[in-house]
Amino acid sequence: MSANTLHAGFVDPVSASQAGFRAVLDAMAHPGRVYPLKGPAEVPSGLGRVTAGVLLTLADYSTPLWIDPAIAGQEGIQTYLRFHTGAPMVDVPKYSEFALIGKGEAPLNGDRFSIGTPDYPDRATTLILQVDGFERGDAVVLTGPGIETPHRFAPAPLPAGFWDVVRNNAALFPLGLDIILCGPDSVAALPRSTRIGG
Amino acid sequence: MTAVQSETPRAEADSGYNFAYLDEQTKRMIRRAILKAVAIPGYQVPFASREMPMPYGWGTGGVQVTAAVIGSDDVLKVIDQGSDDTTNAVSIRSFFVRTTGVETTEKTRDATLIQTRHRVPETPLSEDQILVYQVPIPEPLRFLEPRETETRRMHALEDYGLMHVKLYEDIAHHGHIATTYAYPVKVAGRYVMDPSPTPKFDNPKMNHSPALQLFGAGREKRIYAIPPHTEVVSLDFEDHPFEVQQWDNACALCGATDSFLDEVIMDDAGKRMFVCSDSDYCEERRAAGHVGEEGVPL
Repeated sequence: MSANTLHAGFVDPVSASQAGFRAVLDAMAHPGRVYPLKGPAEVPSGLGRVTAGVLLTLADYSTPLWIDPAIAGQEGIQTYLRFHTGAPMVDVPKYSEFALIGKGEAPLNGDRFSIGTPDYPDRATTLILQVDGFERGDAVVLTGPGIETPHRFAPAPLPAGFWDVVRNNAALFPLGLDIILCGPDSVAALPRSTRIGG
Repeated sequence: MTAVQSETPRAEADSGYNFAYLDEQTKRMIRRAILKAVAIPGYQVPFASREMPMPYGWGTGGVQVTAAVIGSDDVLKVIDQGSDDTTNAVSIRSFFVRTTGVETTEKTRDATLIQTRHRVPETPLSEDQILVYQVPIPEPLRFLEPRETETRRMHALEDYGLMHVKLYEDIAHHGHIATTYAYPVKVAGRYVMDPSPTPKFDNPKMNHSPALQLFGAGREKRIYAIPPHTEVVSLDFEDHPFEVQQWDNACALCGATDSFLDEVIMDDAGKRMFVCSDSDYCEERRAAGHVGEEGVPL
């Protein structure tokens, strides 16, 4: 395959984006629980299949997208997402509705993103992170809306400062950052309402 | 062995429309609003409500939420005031059968997706179910403060004193809180929310429900949500605690004493009977052999 080849998106966009949405909705409604999700068959390097599936499901011309410059394969990812979603790419994280965060060594700084306004807390950035799994990291215990009994959650790898962003949500609520975590074949979420500690 | 027949055979969807009627861009916009609604329990997320092939007031908000959520493997139940066979329920159910071809059911426990107008089913819901409410006026403070800019600021500042004054005035006028439906609740300890015009009888069912609850207001262009296992508290006072309605009668058909009863006028002489508002619950009880005063064994 030549470097100029553009990978295909969803084969059946209607049912694939519905399935993708239901997985993300389940994940958002049950923070820390992991739900299976299939993405498109082929994706540009640096972009996970699940991540591609989530973005193809949710992003379009009305959702400015910021891609962490630390992510390798930047150009291919931009070309792919621009073609399939039409999302405008922004350089300033504050202006983004979705922000794709790299696994890189750069620490995650929550202040760079939009946490919404007191009148419109929904106008906040949704962070999308790619992880290798949900079991092997340093475990935290989650509580909050959507969680019946305190729930153990251990995604990895995570950028430094990740849990500070999640902890900070407690102080900011109802403002804050919502987070979608994309594994190799599944998705989990940490909405801003989720608290750490039993 | 014969295959179990579903109540409504799976129909072929009309090919002239996209799956579930809405175009994909509209679904994406609604889906994003739903995700934010789940992330901020009880907060009303504005969304670009579309015109639907039914008038405002007939559940266009709930229909748009359902259309954004529904998939071909869902089993849909639609109720109107608890009943599966009133006009609104029948027309919305046939709308989704025509535009999606999904299987439908009247059994609460068989449904994966339930769209409701003003009732929560009596049968307890499970984690695998989503309840979609049709909402006429999503803003609980609207009748106390007509300006959107002000109510928005009041939510931002968590300034809900006016709502307590309203409940207090009820007590001053009537000796008790006279609000019987659309009874305000506080969700996850933060936002005061209108549970849509469900009878307050249903408020306790919203508290720590295992099912995800989504609310759609089409004309008012708002979507809000209660995630599963979330605290939903009906507002009250220490000396006037929240109470649900009670009846002196049992259901005339199935004898239930634990369900919400509708009063039905039987003749010009004022004869009346009380029957379950939840038609599936009543039928299930009758099928199990329960017989009310005026009922006949099935």
